[in-house]
Amino acid sequence: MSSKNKLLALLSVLAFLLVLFAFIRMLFFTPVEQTMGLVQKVFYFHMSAAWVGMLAFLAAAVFGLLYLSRKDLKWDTLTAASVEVGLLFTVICIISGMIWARPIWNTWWTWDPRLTTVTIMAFTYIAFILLRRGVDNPTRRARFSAVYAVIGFISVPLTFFSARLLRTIHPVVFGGGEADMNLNAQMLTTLFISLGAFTVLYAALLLHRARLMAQQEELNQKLAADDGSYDWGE
Amino acid sequence: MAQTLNYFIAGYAVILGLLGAYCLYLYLLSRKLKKTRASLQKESQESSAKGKIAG
Repeated sequence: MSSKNKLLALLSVLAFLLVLFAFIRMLFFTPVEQTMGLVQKVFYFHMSAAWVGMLAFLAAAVFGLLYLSRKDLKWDTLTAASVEVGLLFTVICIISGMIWARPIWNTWWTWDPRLTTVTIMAFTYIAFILLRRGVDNPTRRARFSAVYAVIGFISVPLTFFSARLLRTIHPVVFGGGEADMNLNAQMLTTLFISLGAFTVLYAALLLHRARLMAQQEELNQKLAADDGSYDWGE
Repeated sequence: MAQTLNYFIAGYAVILGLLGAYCLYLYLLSRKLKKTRASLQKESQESSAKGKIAG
């Protein structure tokens, strides 16, 4: 096993243990919110998923800029991997939010500014993945992906600030003034542990996905040199 | 206090289920890539052996 693979294995184990720790802490060592009941505990992983989703799209934009300035395909691989992982966390955030909303707002979905902007953000990056598959030339694909990741990032601050600047029923955890959620010290500690655990999990998933994408590309080139590309069944 | 245990379970089932499904997808893709690489190596070894015999 190479030192890079060892580090990745170590990071994966660390991510698993941190998520497990955050889960156990949320389950047994965090008080139940008096009004909402147990469903409020979904919030810890819901917010962590939202944070990591936005972080992943920010990272994708940075990788995109790095590709545009250095023309190294490894940055393109990282851009695509970051978007895919970010989309996974955004979908987790949306679905867990819907489950929380059902007993609290009495509806699965409402076209509130925060929910609308997060949906736009998700579709922006779904389109990224679909459009990327339509470009065969690796250099053109990389240039397209980099520009798209940078422009698509506009949807992230739009989502982040929508709950702070527009009239919304979505709770604001930090910086919302009167709309702030009242979390006690134990709840805040669990929230920060969850945020940290999900950030490490994101790093592990990103590196795994980028490594597999690079291997896929390498094998595709070999196969194309022989007799055509291979369908990976994705 | 509102009785929201079912929603709590559903929420975490979705979160952990989706994370688990993505990890499984990465694992299966990694296995598929390993198999393809092994078969490619085998093919290239066979073709180089044939080349030597023919030569």
